[in-house]
Order: sequence, then C-alpha cells, then structure tokens
Amino acid sequence: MSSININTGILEQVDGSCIFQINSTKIISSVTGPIESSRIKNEIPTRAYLDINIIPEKGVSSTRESLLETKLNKILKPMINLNLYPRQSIQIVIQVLKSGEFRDYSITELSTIVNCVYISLLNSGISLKSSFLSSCCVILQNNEIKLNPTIDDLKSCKSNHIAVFNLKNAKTDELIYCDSLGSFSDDQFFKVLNYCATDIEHNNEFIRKSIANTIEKDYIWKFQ
Amino acid sequence: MTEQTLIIPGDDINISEPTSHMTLGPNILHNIENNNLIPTTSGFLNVQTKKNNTIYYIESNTKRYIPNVNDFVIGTVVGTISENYRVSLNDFSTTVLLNQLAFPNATKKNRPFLKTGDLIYARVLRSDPDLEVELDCIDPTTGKEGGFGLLNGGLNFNVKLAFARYLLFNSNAEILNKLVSKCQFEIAIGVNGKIWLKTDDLKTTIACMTSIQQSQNWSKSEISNKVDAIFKSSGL
Repeated sequence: MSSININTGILEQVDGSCIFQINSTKIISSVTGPIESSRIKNEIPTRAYLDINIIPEKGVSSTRESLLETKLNKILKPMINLNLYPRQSIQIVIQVLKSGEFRDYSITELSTIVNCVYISLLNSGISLKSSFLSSCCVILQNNEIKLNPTIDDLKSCKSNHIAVFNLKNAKTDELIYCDSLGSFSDDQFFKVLNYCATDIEHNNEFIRKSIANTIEKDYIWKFQ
Repeated sequence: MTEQTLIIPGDDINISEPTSHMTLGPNILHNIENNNLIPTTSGFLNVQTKKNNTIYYIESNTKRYIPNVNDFVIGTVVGTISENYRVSLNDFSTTVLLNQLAFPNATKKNRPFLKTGDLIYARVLRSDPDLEVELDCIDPTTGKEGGFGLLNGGLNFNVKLAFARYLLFNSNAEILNKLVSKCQFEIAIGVNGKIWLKTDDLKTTIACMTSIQQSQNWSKSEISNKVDAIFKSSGL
C-alpha cells in the first residue's frame, strides 16, 4: 500500500504550487504562468513555451535532470492547451526534496514529479486538456510485479517501468507515456501497464478528494 | 437556476436540458469532433438557464489574471511608448496598452499626464490573444469619467481573483459592510485581484487591508469578531 501526502498552494509568490509525497519520494513544484517570455527565442507565435527546471536533491543539475526535463516536457505538452497562450511562457520549477532512489535510476522521481506538477497546474488554473497521473513499478527476479519500488527493489529488479495515463471520469483512458529499462517479455509489459492503470485509479480517489478539499478551502468566504 | 458541483479536467459535463442556445463561459472548451464539453480546470461547475439560453462555466479561484473585454482592472503605469502608456496588470505578465487619448475629453493638446508608477482604474477595451490588449478610462455608456482614471494616494494590495470578483459584483459583501461600520474609506476593486484603498490615516488603512486580505480565509460568520479583533489590536 502506498502512503500519499499532498499539500497544495503553499507558496505565496507563484500561481500554483504543491508538495507531493508518496512513500519515500517527496517533491515540491511551482507553476507560474502564462507570463511574458524572458527570452525572445522562447516566444512561439502560436503557442506557449514550457520552461521546465528540475533541481536535484543534492548538488547541481546534471544530464540526468536534463533528461528528466525532456521527458516531462513530452508528457505535459499534449496535456496543456498551449495554443490558448500564444507568445507566453509557463514556468515550472521542481525541487526534489527526497529522492527515494539512487542517481542511476529515475522512475520513482519522474512518476512523483508528474503527479506533483499535475496538482500544481490545477492549482494555477492553467487550461488542461485532461487529468493525468503516473505510476511506476519493477519486475523482480521471481517475475513478480511490484508497484512503488523501494531502493532495494530497484537494485535487484530485472526491469523497471513508468506509465502515465490520462483519466476520463476517474477511469484511466489513454496511455500518454511509458518508459522501461531492463529485460522483459511482451506479456509482462502489458501486465505492467494494467497494474499501473489500476494503481493510478486507486490513487486518483485520494488525489481527487485532496483537490476537492483545496477548492473548498479556496471558497471558504462564500460559506456561512 | 443555479447549481454547483465539483469538476476536474477529464470529467464529463452533462447537458441535462438541451436548450436552443448554449453559452460557454470561462474554463470550458467545446470539442467539435464528438460535440462534448471539456472542463479545463478544477472548480465548481455553474449552470444557469435563462429563457432559451443555458450558460456553462467553471468558477475557479486563481492568482493570475487573463484580460477579458469589459473587465474593470487596476494597473500600474510602467512606461510610455509613443502615444501609449504601458500598464502592468499582473507581475511578470505581458504589459497592456493604454492610449493617451483614451480619457474623457482628452485631445492632442489637453491630455492627462501619467508618471511611471501611477495607479489607474481602467476598463479592458480589446483583448485578443494574438494582439496587444488595450485599456481605456471612459465609461462606455455615458462617455464620461465614471470612476475611471488616476488613483491618487492610498494603498494597493493583492487578493485572489475569485474573491476580488465577489467583492466587485456584490456591493453588500459582508466584509465591506463590516468595514463601513468601522471607518470611512474609498475603495476600488479590480478583477485582476488588485484592491486600492484610501482612508484618512495610516493605521486605519493597514487595519482595513489586513481585514480584507485575511477574510479570504474566514467563513461569513467569523467576519464580525475577527475584524473587531484586528481593529482593537491596532488601537482603533
């Protein structure tokens, strides 16, 4: 069972923010936008530019963070109505608070980042095409699939996987993104996707409740 | 008829009573392929039926303002470009234009002179995402000043957008009624989440600002006691 902890709207100076903790991975993210592009080359005539920055738990950003930024860009681009904000940019800053894995791996980090940024985007009011959530898992040596892997699981596993699904009426709909590393068969891969989809639907119940709480808190002045 | 339900992107919006006309407000898009309505953010779904028209929109409390025609806004003059003033409605957002002749009775020779840093109360004249947004300071119905123009003195502070809309559209909002019973003040509310306030002395101004800002986190029944407490602690 995974333990999730969500704290929304904690940062005053940005448009949307969220702390998302799942098991031993903890991320804080902020969304500002649509704002004026800081560089002229980032002004795209027909849509908004996504400016994503990932800051690691320790040290400075490296190629690992650049790769994560590229992956996140790929996930977010089809999910945001970028064409509504021509020539603007949307700034997304992500700080890893607890990594929960070694630097050789990035699946638990990426999956938590996706969930965290999703809630920050909702908090900032930026126009989204659909809801989306992510989940990750590993295939252990005994061919057992384990969701939310620990450090030891990642070290000893045959392969690791991450999947991002979009949600329609609280049910997983389409696969947005998946990434796997290691050796596995076709059957195992489809099984993994099913596992992730079920896990996302399960987590969504809690996340939706948390979003509802935030909105009610936002409108407390309307109530007696 | 008004009803409110919580909605997030990806949920279906049920078109319960199809009427001949449908108007889509903020945060709802129309999917032409399958004729569905798509919610684009999380918030309360509002459905209002008026005669033959149904209005759908999602009420959501955010911080960044996106200009819409006929909105009343408070802006800061940040510069001059030929015949226009550059006005900032939101920190870091693209600045908007205010023509120097967009004031009542303004001519080439006789026009108001605004400095960088001045606050103005204006109306959004034009807003197209592909063009520059324009403001004006003329009441469109009378062609007169109508409360628009330079805001002299006072204090400017930010609140969240939905709260600003509530204060502007409900002239008898509880917090304002309570403040009226406490002191005299001038107020201008912009839907871009900015409020300008002017009273006779500094202490009252700060007490009013704290009350309005903090009342975003109070329910209606708490307002009276908490405003009293704030005024008492500032020695008023």
